Amino acid sequence: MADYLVALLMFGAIYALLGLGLNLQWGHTGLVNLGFVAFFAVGAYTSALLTLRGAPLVVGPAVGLVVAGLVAYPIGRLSLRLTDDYLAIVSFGFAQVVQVLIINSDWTGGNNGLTGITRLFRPFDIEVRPYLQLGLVLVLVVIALFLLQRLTASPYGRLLRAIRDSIDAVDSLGKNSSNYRLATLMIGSALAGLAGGIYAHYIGYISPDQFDSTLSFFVFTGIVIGGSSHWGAAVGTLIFVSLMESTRFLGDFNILPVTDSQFAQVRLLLVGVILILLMQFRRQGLWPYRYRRRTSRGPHADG
Amino acid sequence: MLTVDALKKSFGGLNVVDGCSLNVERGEIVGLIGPNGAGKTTLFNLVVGGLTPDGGDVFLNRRRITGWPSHRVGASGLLRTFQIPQLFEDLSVIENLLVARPNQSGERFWNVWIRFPRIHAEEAANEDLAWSVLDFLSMTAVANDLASSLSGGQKKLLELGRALMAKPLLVLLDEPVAGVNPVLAEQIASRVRKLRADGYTFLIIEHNMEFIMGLADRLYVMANGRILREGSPADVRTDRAVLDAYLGVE
Repeated sequence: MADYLVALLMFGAIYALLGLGLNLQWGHTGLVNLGFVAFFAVGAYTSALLTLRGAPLVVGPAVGLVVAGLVAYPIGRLSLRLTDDYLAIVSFGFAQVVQVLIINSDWTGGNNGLTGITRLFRPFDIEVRPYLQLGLVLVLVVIALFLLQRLTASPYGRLLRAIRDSIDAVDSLGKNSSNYRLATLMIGSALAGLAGGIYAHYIGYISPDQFDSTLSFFVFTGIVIGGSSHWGAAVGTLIFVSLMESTRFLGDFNILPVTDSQFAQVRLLLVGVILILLMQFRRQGLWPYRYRRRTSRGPHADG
Repeated sequence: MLTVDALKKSFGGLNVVDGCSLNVERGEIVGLIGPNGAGKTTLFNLVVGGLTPDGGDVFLNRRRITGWPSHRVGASGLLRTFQIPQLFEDLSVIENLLVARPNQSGERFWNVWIRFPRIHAEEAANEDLAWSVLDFLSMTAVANDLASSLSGGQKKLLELGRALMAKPLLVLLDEPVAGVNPVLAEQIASRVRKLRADGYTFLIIEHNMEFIMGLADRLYVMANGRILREGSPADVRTDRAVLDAYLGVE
């Protein structure tokens, strides 16, 4: 049971990294990146392929991060000069292309995927290994949280939220919003690439079906539940994805009067109910981003 | 200061702006009026970079800015407001002003990590400026409220304030009192007059005749994509051609 809980948290924490990346893009800058999972896949495959060819384990996820970030550049260049709807379409298409490419290429292992990927902390005993792995991911989540907090609390982050509210107004003030949207797309996607690298070296086996677009929507849902603060996005994604994973086996206990296939539908139904309740009673999510109040009037204040 | 020279734009064979020329001098309040469909908004968008003209030129302080994208026009000192206010609705009122400050160190990615003392100093100075703008607009009480909570008139005021944060050479107001109650409209007019006294320059599109007649030094009247008349409000008010354009007499 403890093992299962650790594994659940591990997946949750990896998805929390995804939540943080997408929250910077969507929650703060307003970019609708429907193909977010593709950058996760790019990171996972880059890291796996590199280490399978003899690269050291620490290099894999790091290169995965860089490659995923760079891949976002042409996607952004193609779509961001236009309005957000185009990014949604282009990124969604990109995710499909990436999946099809993986399935149909030899060097990616095709439908069979890649096996024998070096596990994280392999030299350590199998008993302690999961805890070390979980510790590493949690540290990465905290570092990412800290850096993102820092970025979004600065004038840079304020400008991102301004872009989310009105691109036209930001441009009219003499600031080139396209550059900032492109940068955000790259940073968030790089984070997804890092998560992908960790994921590959955690489970040791990757295949195209693990990078289905459903995952993008799960991450979106996690952010909707958690809210646009970084903590909210991380915790929301962690809880939501963990719940989706853990309830998968609930049907096996035969406590509900439904068949297995019905049960899968019941889970999705519950997701819908949760989202509707949330939209009714707490539209901003559980932990929305809060701006800093500026109560002081500075030294020259007179009233 | 602003010179528009024979600007042209057509959409599918329809000459919406058909060789318009106008000119705004430093310290002036110039109005641009005309019946619906005259091409005022199109002309405005050609100047501020939303649209690329088919012909003609725009100069700001003798610098040719024709066809520049809107962020370059904004950076060159020509600031605009929107007919329907485009505020940063989920930011506080004072944050709306702070965003508008040009060339902030803290808006560069690497500076966020290495230049934080400078960013803090700039932020403090910008906040002081923002508070003085809020004072000027009588909006200090709502400084920390979300911009989305403001009334329509307050939103127009805040847009004006946002333009002021950039210390603009010229402010283009697109229907500043459309849908604003008369009391607040008069407040906006008095603010514009005060700013003119401080050396600011305005070009204003407006439908509200009472407002623009009482405010502008000079008016351009547009009809069917052309400048029909140019003159003082008193002259324009009694001009036969202008009356015909508004009343639809051929």
